[in-house]
Amino acid sequence: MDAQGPLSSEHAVLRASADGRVSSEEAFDRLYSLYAGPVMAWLRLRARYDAADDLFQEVWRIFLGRWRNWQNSPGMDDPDAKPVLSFLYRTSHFVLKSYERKERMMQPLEDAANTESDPHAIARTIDFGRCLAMAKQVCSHEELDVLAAKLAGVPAREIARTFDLTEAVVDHRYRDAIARVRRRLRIGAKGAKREGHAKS
Amino acid sequence: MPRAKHNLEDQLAREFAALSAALKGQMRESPRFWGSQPLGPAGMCVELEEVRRAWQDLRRSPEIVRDAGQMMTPQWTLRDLASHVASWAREFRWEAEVSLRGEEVPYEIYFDPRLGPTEWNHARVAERQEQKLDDILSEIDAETRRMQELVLQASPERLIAPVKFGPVVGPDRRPLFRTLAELTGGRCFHDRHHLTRIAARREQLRQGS
Repeated sequence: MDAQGPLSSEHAVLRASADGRVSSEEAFDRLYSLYAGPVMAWLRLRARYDAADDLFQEVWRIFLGRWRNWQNSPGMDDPDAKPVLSFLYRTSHFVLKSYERKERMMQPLEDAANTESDPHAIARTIDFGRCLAMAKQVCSHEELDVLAAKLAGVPAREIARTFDLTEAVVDHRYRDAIARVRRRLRIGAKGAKREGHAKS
Repeated sequence: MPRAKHNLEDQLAREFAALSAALKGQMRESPRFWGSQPLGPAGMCVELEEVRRAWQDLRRSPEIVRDAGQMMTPQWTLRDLASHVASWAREFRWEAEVSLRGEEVPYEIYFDPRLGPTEWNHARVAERQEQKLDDILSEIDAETRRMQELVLQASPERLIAPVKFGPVVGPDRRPLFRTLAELTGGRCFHDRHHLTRIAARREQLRQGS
């Protein structure tokens, strides 16, 4: 089946799995196909480039364990509920939290500043696209967590629950992130204009 | 909403979708073939988070106030059962703290081989007799979050190092040695066991039996 086929949404996969139309393994692979990209994108936005692969594996191993005992929640008839995406998001949150703890413990052994100024590390951010790379650069971790989740379609209620916040605070962080990126892009555009004038 | 604002949000969404698609293109093998590994700190936090949410859902559920005084087991109401879980949540967390310091728990909790730690259980439930159900559920929530923090602090060695914990079993008071990982797993198992019983009993009550 292609990406537009009948199992192209989480809701459809969960429904097909619950009805026995697809095996548990096939359903898992469909969910992996749907969400491997967004999960890796979250991790690439928040963690060091060379750590993201290991974190990605940890997230999916945890989900695989969960999937073996997966029970559909009563709200599964709502196509917007996305319980799997939500689970992957909060799992990524804990995986990142654990990773950040380890990073802090390793700090004396590594010069974090060197990692940031590594030309290869900077070049790798090109993957992100201009606005996303800017967001990674100027947003706080808290803002980035909310922004990335919103961009992947995680329900606002789930983001709020993951961080023990209200939905209003989540919305506020999202708007702050957007405003910060916009401000920086404007500054960049003005700088480029001035440079252009100076050259001519 | 101004057009420029939409443009930036749309552009970010497009870039995120493009990044996701590019990264997905690099993934080949399903995680089903990666082989299993024991749960690390993050996995344990996820397990704890699942039970924390289940208690939160119970706390927010309709008719929770009415059900607080309903019998969930032959001897305990919902409030009593929550007190029991809160007391073990507190005990597990305390024992985890002791374990992280590399020490042994300096007291014993007697487990009858057939009946379990009945004396200890009843004493802890009695201690919470004056508390409201909401306060007890709030205690479970706070203890679970503290447990998550402890698990995240633990070094990989500490997570799998066996420690002598409080429970002793049988007439010869045989001590129990557990790792922090096992303690966390035990905490989640215990919570799930009672959550399942509560859900089943509440369903019976809803149907009028």
